Amino acid sequence: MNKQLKDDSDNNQVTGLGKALRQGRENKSFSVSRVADGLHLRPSIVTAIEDEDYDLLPGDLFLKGYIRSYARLVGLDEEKMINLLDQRLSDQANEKTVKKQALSKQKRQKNSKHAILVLVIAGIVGAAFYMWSQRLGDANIGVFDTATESVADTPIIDSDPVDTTDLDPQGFTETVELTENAQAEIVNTEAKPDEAPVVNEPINDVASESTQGLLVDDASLASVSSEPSVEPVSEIEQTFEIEPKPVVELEQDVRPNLDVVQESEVLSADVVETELPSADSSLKIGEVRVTFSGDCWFTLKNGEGKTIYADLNRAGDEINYSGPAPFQLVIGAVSEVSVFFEQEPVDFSTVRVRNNRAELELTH
Amino acid sequence: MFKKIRGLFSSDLSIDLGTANTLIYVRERGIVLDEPSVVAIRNHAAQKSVAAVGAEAKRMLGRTPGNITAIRPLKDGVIADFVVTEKMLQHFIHKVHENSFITPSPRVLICVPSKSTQVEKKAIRESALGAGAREVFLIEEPMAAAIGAGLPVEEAHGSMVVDIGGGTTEIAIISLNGIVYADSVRIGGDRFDEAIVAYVRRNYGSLIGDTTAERIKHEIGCAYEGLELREIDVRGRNLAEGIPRGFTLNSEEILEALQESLASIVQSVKGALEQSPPELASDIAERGIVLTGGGSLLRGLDRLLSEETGLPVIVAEDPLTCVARGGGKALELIDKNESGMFPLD
Repeated sequence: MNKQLKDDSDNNQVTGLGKALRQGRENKSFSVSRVADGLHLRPSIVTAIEDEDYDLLPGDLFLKGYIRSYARLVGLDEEKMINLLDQRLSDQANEKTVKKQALSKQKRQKNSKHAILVLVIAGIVGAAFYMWSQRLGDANIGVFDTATESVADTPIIDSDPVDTTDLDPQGFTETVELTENAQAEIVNTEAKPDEAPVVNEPINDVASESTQGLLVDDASLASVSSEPSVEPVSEIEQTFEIEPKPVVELEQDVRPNLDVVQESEVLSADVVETELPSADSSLKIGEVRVTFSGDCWFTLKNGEGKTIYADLNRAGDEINYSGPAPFQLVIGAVSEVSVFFEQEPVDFSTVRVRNNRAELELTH
Repeated sequence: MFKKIRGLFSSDLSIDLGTANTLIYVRERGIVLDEPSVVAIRNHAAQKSVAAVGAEAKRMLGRTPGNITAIRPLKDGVIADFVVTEKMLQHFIHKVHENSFITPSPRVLICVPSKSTQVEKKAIRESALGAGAREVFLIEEPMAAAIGAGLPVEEAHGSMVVDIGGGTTEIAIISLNGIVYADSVRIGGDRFDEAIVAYVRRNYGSLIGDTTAERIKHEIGCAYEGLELREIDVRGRNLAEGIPRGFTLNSEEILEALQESLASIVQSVKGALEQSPPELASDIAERGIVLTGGGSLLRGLDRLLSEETGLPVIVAEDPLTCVARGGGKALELIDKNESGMFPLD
């Protein structure tokens, strides 16, 4: 029976603990069934303990209890056996965490592939939308052209005649709008009417200029959303020169005013967009150096939100990086790390450290 | 309203309000307080004030002058003196929040004996609220003990836990986060001490105090015959002569002294096994019974229960703190909105 057990144990790579227990049992010349009776366990469990085949046993709590009782029964030092078991279990746990880390790494790689795919799809959709909007813009200009032409032909000259010197440029721009309902609709799709107050300024600017200049301005306003060729502008100018009067007569109409505002809003929105990239360029360049005295997870993101570094580091590793600040750091084991930002050591006493893990931002 | 604001500056606590010791577990910090449940009250011109709480007060037990009374406000796992318990809790909650300059108002989970009555539960709840708690949850002690010991309580598998505390012994069979059978006998460490005091008086004609009896129990106490024989020298007041006399006790004598109390515990464990549904009984027979609480540290108690029941008996790791740790874990589950998992009051 013992011989058979020994053969089994060789197969299962028994380390000190199982061997010691079996040795103890043999020294006392106890059989497995005698030990099983003493511990009130099934003989198969006693064999599993000796073979260190812990998968058959119901969890650490019971395992420790069984080994403690076994050691006591065969006259071995309980604490020594438990220490051996703890060592064995922690080794197993380490193996599991390493496996888990490898798995999570694979998952991350998979995720990053997914992210790239999503980005590519988003890019394609964006490009398609851009092209579509460009086409829509061209169509817009077409509508605009016909509208301006219609201004020339409009027979709405029934209000009081007003002198051209009193001509309100705002009113003029409005007339352009008023005469072309089609364009008004298109503009509406691009700007919300309730944001109108924001764009008072462009209107005032327009008012201060001469009517002719104004016309050109207005045309350019329209062109913001539709990227037109130069042609419409000249057409509008022509329109004005031919028919100044009807333009002025509609000055008091309120409705078109809103449309002008909307157009200007489109312009201002565009201005904001062009300003954004300049904000990125204001990021300061910073330098960070990290040295490791033990195993530690470390993640570094730069000011652009780009992950520069994310890996498990060993003792003696060092990371140097200079790039746009602020840096976002995630440190898995604060006690194993020294961080230098701009050559100065970072004080962890001011950072919230939880379970020896810290997330911090390094900024100038 | 103010309690809520103060609550932002307080940590959630799990309190094992035991007859012998009070333990407090704080999330992410572990066991932060482990002190005897003893309060020393000073009487001064008909006014009572707290002289000492915890370990300091325990040293005073039986050694106090006329104007100081050292009392244990809990008896048999429940509150015997409401006001003093409140003061003691207040002291402990403040001690845990030492660094806070705002009066703490934590959420508190307290473990109560499984057989405690509604009145007893209400007394504990009121006492904790009076001590400044913002919200009070009550959990049954054996459930907390099982969680703290690491038993797989959430599995559809019967687990049996025997928690031998200072005042009571809680026996429960747990499956699927619920208690299938629970029993609570008012026998625990205190009863062991009393039995030792009675034995010494009867056999040596000497009177010893509870503290000495506890020391004897810790050093040579045993529950199973045939273990290594140990001896201890003690001094007590000889009843016949009226003067202190020294004598030697051995572990066999202590076993004899504890016989009656131990028999009651064994009987209750057997009763629980008899009452359990057959499926659960077979699960327990397969894995065994888990012992928690300070009483489980009595030498040979696991062997006694194992021999009497014919089942494997295991003493949990760090049995003294199992209940507090288990309460802490239950608190975490409350935060994860899984409070429905446990029968909380």
